[in-house]
Amino acid sequence: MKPTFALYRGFLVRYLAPCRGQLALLGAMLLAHTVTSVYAPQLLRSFIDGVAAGRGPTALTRVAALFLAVAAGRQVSRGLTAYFSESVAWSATNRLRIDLLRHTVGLDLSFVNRHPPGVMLERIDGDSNQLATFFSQLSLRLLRGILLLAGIVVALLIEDWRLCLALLGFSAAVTFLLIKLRSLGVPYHDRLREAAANLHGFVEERLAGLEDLKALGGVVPALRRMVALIGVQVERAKRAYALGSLVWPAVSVAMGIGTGLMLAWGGALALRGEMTIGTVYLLFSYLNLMFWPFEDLAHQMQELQKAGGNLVRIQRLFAQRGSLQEGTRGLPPGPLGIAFEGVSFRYPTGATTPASAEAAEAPEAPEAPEATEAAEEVLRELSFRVRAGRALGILGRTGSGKTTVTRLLARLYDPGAGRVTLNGIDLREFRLSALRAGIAVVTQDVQFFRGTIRDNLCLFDAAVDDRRLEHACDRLGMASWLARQPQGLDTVISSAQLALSAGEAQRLAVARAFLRDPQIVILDEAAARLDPATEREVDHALKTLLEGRTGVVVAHRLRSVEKVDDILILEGGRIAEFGPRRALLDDPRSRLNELLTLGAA
Amino acid sequence: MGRFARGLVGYRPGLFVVNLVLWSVAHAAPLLPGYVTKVYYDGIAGDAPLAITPLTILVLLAAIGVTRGLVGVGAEWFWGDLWTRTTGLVRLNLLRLIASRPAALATPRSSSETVSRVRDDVEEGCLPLEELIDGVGVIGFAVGAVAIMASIDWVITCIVTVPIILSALAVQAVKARVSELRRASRDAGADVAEFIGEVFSSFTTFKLAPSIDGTTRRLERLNRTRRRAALRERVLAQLLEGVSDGTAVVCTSLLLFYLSATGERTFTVGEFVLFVTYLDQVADYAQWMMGMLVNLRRAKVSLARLRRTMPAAAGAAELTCRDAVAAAEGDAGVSQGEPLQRLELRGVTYLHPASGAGVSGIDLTLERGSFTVVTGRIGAGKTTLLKVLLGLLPHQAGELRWNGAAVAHPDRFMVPPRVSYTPQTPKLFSATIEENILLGAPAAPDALAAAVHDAVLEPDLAAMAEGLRTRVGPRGLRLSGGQVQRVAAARMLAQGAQLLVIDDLSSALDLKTERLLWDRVLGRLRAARPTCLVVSHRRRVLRHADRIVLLSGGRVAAVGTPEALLAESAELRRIWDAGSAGAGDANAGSGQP
Repeated sequence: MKPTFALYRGFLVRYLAPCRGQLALLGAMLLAHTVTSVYAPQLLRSFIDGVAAGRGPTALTRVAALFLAVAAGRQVSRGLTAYFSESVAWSATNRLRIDLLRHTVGLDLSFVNRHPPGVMLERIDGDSNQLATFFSQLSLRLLRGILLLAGIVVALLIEDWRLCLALLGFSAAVTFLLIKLRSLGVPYHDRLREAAANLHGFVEERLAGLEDLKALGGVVPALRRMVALIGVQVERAKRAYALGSLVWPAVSVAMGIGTGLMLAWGGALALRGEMTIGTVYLLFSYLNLMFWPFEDLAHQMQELQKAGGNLVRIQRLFAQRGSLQEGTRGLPPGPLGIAFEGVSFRYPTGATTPASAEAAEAPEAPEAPEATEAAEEVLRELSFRVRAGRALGILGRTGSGKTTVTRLLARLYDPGAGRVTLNGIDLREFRLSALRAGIAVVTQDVQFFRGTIRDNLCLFDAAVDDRRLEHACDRLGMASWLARQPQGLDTVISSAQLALSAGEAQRLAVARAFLRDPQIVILDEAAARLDPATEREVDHALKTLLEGRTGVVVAHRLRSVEKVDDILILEGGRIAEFGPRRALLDDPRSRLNELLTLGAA
Repeated sequence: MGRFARGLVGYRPGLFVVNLVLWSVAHAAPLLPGYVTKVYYDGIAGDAPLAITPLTILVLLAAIGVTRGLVGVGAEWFWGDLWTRTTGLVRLNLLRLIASRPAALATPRSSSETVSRVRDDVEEGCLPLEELIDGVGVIGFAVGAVAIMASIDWVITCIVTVPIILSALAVQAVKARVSELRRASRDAGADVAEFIGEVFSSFTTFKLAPSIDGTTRRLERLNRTRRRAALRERVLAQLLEGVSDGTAVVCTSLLLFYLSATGERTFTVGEFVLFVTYLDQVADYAQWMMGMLVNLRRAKVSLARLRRTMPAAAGAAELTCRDAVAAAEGDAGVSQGEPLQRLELRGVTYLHPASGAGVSGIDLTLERGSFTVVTGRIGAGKTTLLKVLLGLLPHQAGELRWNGAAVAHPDRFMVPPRVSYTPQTPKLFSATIEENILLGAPAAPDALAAAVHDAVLEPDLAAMAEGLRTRVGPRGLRLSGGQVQRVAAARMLAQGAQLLVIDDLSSALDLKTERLLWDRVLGRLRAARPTCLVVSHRRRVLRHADRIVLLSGGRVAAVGTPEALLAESAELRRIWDAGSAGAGDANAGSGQP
């Protein structure tokens, strides 16, 4: 995919339009810069011709003073141009970052899970940073260059129309050449950035898993692998730098020829007395003045190529669609009845997404999907029902589909066949936001981020006040824990340094769910990582959370099943057994009893 | 800084020289057309004989342009080579140095924050290399131009150098402010990067949130802070550039006033044009040199930040160590040494600086072939104890003794083939299952197969089309929690170590799998008898122990055989009773109401 004009324009309109006022001021400063730049050489011509004509010191001094004033004006307009262009650039890319974050959070879990956080960061922040440079330096320096060229053309038109035509023809030829060369470099820069993203993704993962790596003696092999990744980057860099930058040498050649032509022509005229020597200087000076915009243009073109690569990647990310269609209904009030009706499901392969095609080129291809692996059916024509307000416990071996059931219920994926309903209404008919608000999921993999306890509990939702937070902690038996925190709710916790014990983390996750006051609660392996004493404390919190709600509990410990009303035992994505817990316990031949006996063996 | 820059240059001296020559030619080239043009003007204006005809000037200027173009292409090629190689070396060494810190403390904020050091600060820290290569040509041009101008009129040449020097001093004066703004801007940028990185590290949580409005509002706030910081920094940088550009204006004006004051035609037209052209370019190059100074300052800021991520003892020269892999191998110092007879911890202490929690005064002896279980409530310090033993956390007091000899660097010493480890929440890497198990160690098919078997991975592998070659996805996200844990178990077993350190092996496993796994691991222990240190509260494991160490509040509360300790410790009895029900062990059935 090559960056098209429409792509550039679409981005400029969407992200620059909100800064109209600043853009207007920026335009004014650019104009002032152009006028002063074009006028200053005219003053030098007057000076040369004045000296040649033997004019007095007063006249010459006046020209010198005027030159100083004009040149000073040029400097001021230049400084203000810088201010406004930076300001616009950061406002625009800040909006882009927000849009990208919103968009990617809407994407499927399977898409994001194929990309390490480092790669996603590179896509959102890295590419936006490059675009900030593009907006501030490039498009505006590009504009400054173009305006300056236009100003020079006008000044020459006043001087001599033939010269002006010649110069226009020359500029057109050079510009055409530059545009031709422009798109040549994009794929090379693209591939280079790809290599960089792979390298940094690799480093990020190794840093995140440094404890494992180190304790298992994996540091040296990881460094060896990194050497190979750097090697790929070096090979791509040579091509990207040299072939992606043909514009600059082309300008050198073109301007060498251009200056030669101009001086030869002007000189010949001056020798015949048809042109003053000051005007020959003026022409030379304008060409030099053009040389810098051209050369600058050429440099900016290189940046533009990089920005083109960024735009293409961002566009690809925006083109990526989540597979979940938005519904229209809100959730009915009160506890909800759940039903799976003939549900079959396999995880998507994702093999056709642009992002994975990119990844396939990468040397290590860390996010390359395994079509074969993904194609297996995880759930097969699964049907069961949970009445409103009851709790269902799901048992089964690893890989039997327990977690997948919860993912379909939370609508992280849609079933391939059949349907999942709440009070008889297909999940797909509900608004996603309503669904997310009504269903809370607590998994064993409690995810916390660096931030205050408050932020971690309410995920930056400012509508949750401290009273509610404290009340929730109180109900879940965490009041004394909260009181021990040095800054209370404002205490910063972090994912990197496990300042939280597993039990604390688990209870915070329960509190996070509790705060939402959900109608359905999903607990996936929730109490698995705890020591028994702490597990009892968490259990209390979990029971509080389940009270008056419909619950689905994925359990590895038989003990977790004590709190549920119905039991579903899965095997290979099908029901091995399903029924009220009591009834199953009373049946000596039930699978549940078999499991219990096994536990007792 | 100096030693670091020398290291950058010394990495590929040949390539550096090639770059230096090509870029010097490219940058100093404008001297030539300037001088040729002067001679031409003098001929046309009649100030001198017509040495260069209009046709000759065309040929000369075109030839110079073509040469510059060709040199430019070559220069870019070799620069791409040198720059990527050198930044790569620094990144490699940085990772090596970060990895040589106690691992649990090596990324104090988050791994995404540290990766922005590896990505951005290395890029900026290496700027001296670029400035050295550009500098020679740029300074060469400036010196050449000034020399030519002085040969025409040394008085005005001296006069115009004054504003150039003054502006350089002015830039020096705001130096501190630039670094300060630079730092603020980088910090604000790192905050944004970290925030986005954390959202993706906890992606499911945010995906399942009812609304992400609060999250985007937070990003907006961080964005605003960063915009302000970046704006301040960039505008000051632009002003600095303007200072040097304004110098050109002042110089040219001085020349005009000088010439109008002297009145007489002291200059030929060619000389005047040469002065104006060179002054413009010298000012441009001076601006460039200012930019280099700004960049060097930025490099210093970045280097200082890099040093903060490195071990305190390591110098900046370590970042350019030519063979990082060999240096890391030296660090690792892996040799089998004498087989473990006895491992002792004497008064070992580590308290987390923030919370004050941790372990203190731990005395513990592991005899060869023994099976020791550490248990206790959450927060008792079990995991901290293991991490201190493995050197993932530094011990603040006490010592470790391997066969009676003090271990100076546990993090380098307590690694395979001496010690192997399964953490409570294992981290896998984007690679195949096999690569995750071996972690770069040479593959012995038998050991690999045995490890896979003992870790109960075979049924899972059989279900995957590519078996051991199946990719696990970033951070192992494509595997279930139980699969990750078993891959980690296989990873530990495959190392064939003398001491196995196991932190709560079974937390994400279903009952059947967990039992099978423990059976096989314990069976393996009987066969090969490595020494074992296990954190667990499963009754099955506790019962197997030669010795149980009960931790409470970071101290050893009791030590003894299961029987003795059950008799004397109420705390252990509580854990024992709860552990049975939790593990679905002997009394699981009776746990039902």
